[in-house]
Amino acid sequence: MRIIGKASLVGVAVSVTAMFVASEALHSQETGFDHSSLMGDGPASSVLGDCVTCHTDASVLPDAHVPATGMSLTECRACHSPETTLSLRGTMPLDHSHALAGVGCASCHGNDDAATMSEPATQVCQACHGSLDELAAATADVMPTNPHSSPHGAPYTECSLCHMQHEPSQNFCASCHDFEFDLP
Amino acid sequence: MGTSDNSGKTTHMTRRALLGTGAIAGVAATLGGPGAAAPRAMPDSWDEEVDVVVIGSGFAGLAAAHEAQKAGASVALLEKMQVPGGNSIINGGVMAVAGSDQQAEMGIEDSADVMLADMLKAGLDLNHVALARTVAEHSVDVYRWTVDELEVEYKDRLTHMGGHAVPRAYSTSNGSGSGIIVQQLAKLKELGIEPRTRTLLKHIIRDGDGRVKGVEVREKHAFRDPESGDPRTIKARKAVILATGGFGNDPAFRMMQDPRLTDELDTTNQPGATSEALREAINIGGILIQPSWIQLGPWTSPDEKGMGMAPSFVQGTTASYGVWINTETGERFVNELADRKIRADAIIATGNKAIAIADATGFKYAKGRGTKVDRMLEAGVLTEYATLEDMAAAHDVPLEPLKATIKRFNTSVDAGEDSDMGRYLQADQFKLVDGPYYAVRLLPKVHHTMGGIGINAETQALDVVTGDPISGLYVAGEAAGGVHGASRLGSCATTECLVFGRIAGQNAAAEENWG
Repeated sequence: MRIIGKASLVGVAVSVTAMFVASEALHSQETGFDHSSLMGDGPASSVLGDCVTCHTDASVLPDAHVPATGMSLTECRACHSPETTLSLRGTMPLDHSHALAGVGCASCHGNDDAATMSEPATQVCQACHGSLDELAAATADVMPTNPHSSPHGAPYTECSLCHMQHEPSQNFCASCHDFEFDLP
Repeated sequence: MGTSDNSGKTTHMTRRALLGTGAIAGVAATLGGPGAAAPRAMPDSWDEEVDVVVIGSGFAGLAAAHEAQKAGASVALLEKMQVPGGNSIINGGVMAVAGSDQQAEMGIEDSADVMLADMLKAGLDLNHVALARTVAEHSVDVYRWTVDELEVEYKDRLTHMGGHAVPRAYSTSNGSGSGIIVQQLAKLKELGIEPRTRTLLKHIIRDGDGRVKGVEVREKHAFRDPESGDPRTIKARKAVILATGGFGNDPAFRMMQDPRLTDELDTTNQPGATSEALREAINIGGILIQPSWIQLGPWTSPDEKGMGMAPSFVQGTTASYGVWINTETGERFVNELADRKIRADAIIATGNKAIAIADATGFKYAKGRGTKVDRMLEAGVLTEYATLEDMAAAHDVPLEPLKATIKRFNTSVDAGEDSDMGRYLQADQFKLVDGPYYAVRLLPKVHHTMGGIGINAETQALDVVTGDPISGLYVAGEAAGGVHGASRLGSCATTECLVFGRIAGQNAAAEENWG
C-alpha cells in the first residue's frame, strides 16, 4: 500500500494518476458513468469541479450556480464554508471532496486496477489527517462527546467505522448511543 | 451424528458443489430451501490450514487465542463485525474475584465457596454446578493473569454488585471492558495474532466420523447483509473454538425462547449479538440448553438508547448509597442489591414506574468514582431537584409515603440493619439527608442470554444425540449455556469468559492433529 506524504487537511496537492474511480458498481448504477476512462494517466485536474462529466442526466448544481469546472475544494469552500449552513457536508460522498482537493484514487489505493483494488489501511488516512490522538485532540469539544476518544478503546476509532468514501458516512456510535454527530 | 449421508467421505463433493451449485444445495432446496438445516460436507481441499480456529473476539475468544498460541498452536482469530471486542469491549469492566488481596486489605472475608453459593442462589440452582464452580475457583488465578500477563489496570476500590454477598468486583481503570480487551489485543499482536474482522462463520464442518475439522467463512462480510462476503474454507487441524457470544440483539431468536421479549424491547447489546453461530452449532449437532433464561438489566433508563450511561450511576451509586422508589406508592419495592432477575422483575411489576435516587452526598460519591454525572444531567438521563418535594412533584410520587420511606431507611442506616429490604449496608453507609436530590427513571433492557451450547468443564461442546463431547469443538463465554442457570450475577461474565476462554485455548492446543 502506497502511503501519501503528510500534508494539510484540505487543498493538499498530491500527484494523482486517476480520479473518481472507486466503487465502480455503485457509480455506474447511480450515474451511468464509466470510470474506466479515468483509470489511466490522465491529469487529475481534468474533472475538478466538472460535475456534468459524470452526472450526465441532470446537473447536480443549482441553475444559478457559478461555473464550477476546474474548481478545487478550497475554491468551493470560499462560499461553502464547513462552518456555515452552506456547508457541503453530507451533500456528496467523501471521495468527491477528496477528488476536489486533488486527492484521487491512486492517492489512497495506489495504482491497483479496479479489479484488485482493496480498502486502504487506516494508516493511509492518518498520513494526511494525523494520528488518532491528534484527531481526538482536535475534536475534544464536540458535543455530546468526543467522537475520536471512545471509552471502548482505539478499535472504536478506526476511520472507516464512520467515514465512508464511496457511500454515505454512517454514525457508528449511533448503533448503541443517542449521539447525533454531524459527520463528514 | 448424522453427517454420514451428506459427508464428503461418502459423496465426494466438489468445491463447486460446496459453494452452493451442487447436490447439497439441491437436497436442501427440496427440504426447506437453500440454507436450511443440513450439515456441511467436507471440502475436497482447504483454502487455508491452521491448528486452531477461534470464532469471536470478546473476552473468551481473545483469551482462547492467547492460550492456544502460547501453547504452540497456530491460530486463526475471526470476527464478523468491523471491530473486535463484541459486547466485552463495551461492557462495564467489572470482574468478580472471590478471596482477592483487595478484599483482604478491606477486611472482607470471601471464598470461592461463597461466590459459588451466590451464583447458585441467583441461578435458582439451575446452574450446572461444575461449570459455576470452575469460574469461582479460578477467579483469583484469572485476575492475577489479567494483571501479570495482560497488564490490566484496576481501580483501588472494589464494587458491590447485586446478588453478591460481599463487595468482590474489580473495576477496570477506564470503567469499561475495553480496559481488558485492548490489553488482550495488544498482547495478541505481540504474539503475532490479529483478529480478522468482517469474517463471518458460515458453517462448522463436522465430518462423518463425528469430528469437527474446520469452518467455512465469508471474508469481507458486511454485517447488514447476511449473504455478503467471499467464501473461504479453513482447516482446523486441532479444534474450532466458538466464542461467539449471546443472542440478546436477535429479536427473532430471542422471541422463540421467550415470546415476551419482542423487538420493541431495547437491549444493552452490540448489534452483532445475534444467533447465527449458535444456530450453526445446533445445526451440526451441538445441544442447546436453557435458552429461555434471558436476563434483563435492571439499571437501564428509558431516557437513552441501549446500555447508555445510567447503569454506572444506578448500580454504582443508588444501589448501595441510595434507594429505588415505586413512584405510585412512594415506597421501596426491592432490595436494590438483589440479583438482576429479582430487580428487573420487580421493576416490571411496578409497571415500570420506578426511579433510582440519591442525595447530594451520593452525587458527590458518584463524581468521586468517575461516574459521568455531568453528561448524564446534560442528556436528561439524570435529573436534579433542589428538594425532595420537587422530585416527588416531578415524578408524581406521593410525598408523605416517600418521606416516611426515606426516614425508615435512615433509621436503618443508624441501626446497621435494613429493616425494609434486608439490603447489605456498606461500611461507610451514609443517610439520605441533603438536597439536591437526583433521580434516574428505570426501564429494564435485554442484557444477557444464560442459555447456549451445553459444555463440560473442559469447555467441550456436547452432542445432542449422545451427550458426549463433540471431538474438535469447544465453546466458551456467553455462547455456552449452563454456567449461570436462571440469572447471571453482575461481574461474573467477565470472569467466566476469561476462565473458560483460557481453558478452551489450552485444551484445543493440546488436541491431536486429525490430519
